[in-house]
Amino acid sequence: MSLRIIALFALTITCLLQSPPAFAIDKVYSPSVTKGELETEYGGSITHDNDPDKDNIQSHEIELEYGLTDHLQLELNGTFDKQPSDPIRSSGVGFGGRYQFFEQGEYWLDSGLLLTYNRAIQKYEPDTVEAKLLMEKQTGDFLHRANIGIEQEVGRYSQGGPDRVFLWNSRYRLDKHFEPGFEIQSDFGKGSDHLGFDQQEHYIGPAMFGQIIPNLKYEAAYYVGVSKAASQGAARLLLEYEMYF
Amino acid sequence: MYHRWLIATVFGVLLSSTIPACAEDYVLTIKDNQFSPKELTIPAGQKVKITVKNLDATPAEFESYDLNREKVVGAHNEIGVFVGPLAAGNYNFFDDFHRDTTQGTLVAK
Repeated sequence: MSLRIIALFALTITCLLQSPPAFAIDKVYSPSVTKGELETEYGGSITHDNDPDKDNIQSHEIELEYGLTDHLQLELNGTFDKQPSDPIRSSGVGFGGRYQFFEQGEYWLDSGLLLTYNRAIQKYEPDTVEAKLLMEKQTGDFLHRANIGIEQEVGRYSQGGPDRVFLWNSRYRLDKHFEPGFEIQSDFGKGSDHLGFDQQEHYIGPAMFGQIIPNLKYEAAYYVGVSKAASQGAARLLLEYEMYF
Repeated sequence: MYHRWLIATVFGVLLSSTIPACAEDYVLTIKDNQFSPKELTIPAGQKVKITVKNLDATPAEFESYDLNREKVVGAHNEIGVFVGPLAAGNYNFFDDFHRDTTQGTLVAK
């Protein structure tokens, strides 16, 4: 069983590296926090499209998260990105925190808030402040997560109002090593731009989640762009290693 | 439009959080790296609160894939874990820091 899972995982990584995200396709955050847990995480995404302007856009993030209390987790990250005709470059460093409002399962809906400040490394690029409402609901063997967020550019190079995003995934908790599901990633753009559906970026596609070995978790998703502004396809991979201190 | 939607969602989240938990309380103890009782029976179809008391001098982590729960219990400390409503059946849990020795089962009847 475990060999099959490792083979499936290796195949997924290969597909992700060969196949070709535009706006910062991101993981869908859980509101849950574990005190004393240190997580090291890599998250990456890549797009593919026949249009060279939307092809091979990459985003990579290395993140450290630590559960300071039962409700508060601090985060530190470094991001790298790649635009179609450019090499990969470091784009920013960020820090923030995730706050879990209540005990998991205490109320009908688990909820929390993520706040991050991202400092741009490149010249002429704005810093950003991001806020996301994190929600999670388990119904039987299905687990659903949704994040609703806004990202506001700040500082000298900032422009316009906040960018608005919506992320959703649902998974069937089949086995701790393999949980199939689907994921939606939507970027509605800035409110002041009044963009129509096709000018916004919307992706949907299959996803899988699970544990490779104890303390090492993965998430992988492949998306199809369903609006004109989105790339034809995109993929996302996340690897997370947990330690306790 | 998005702002109205966002406000409605935040309002919904707050509203859902005001629904009282109404959870019956059960106690699970960790002593000498063993759960007591090893098999805890709870009513199916009801939300319950399990108070996990760690009487040992080392921390433990109450974890269960079946229940989708993971929470650290400090040495000589206790935590509350809300589970359910569960369908009738057996749900395994363990101490992730001593997963070979510290295991138990929640039985929903």
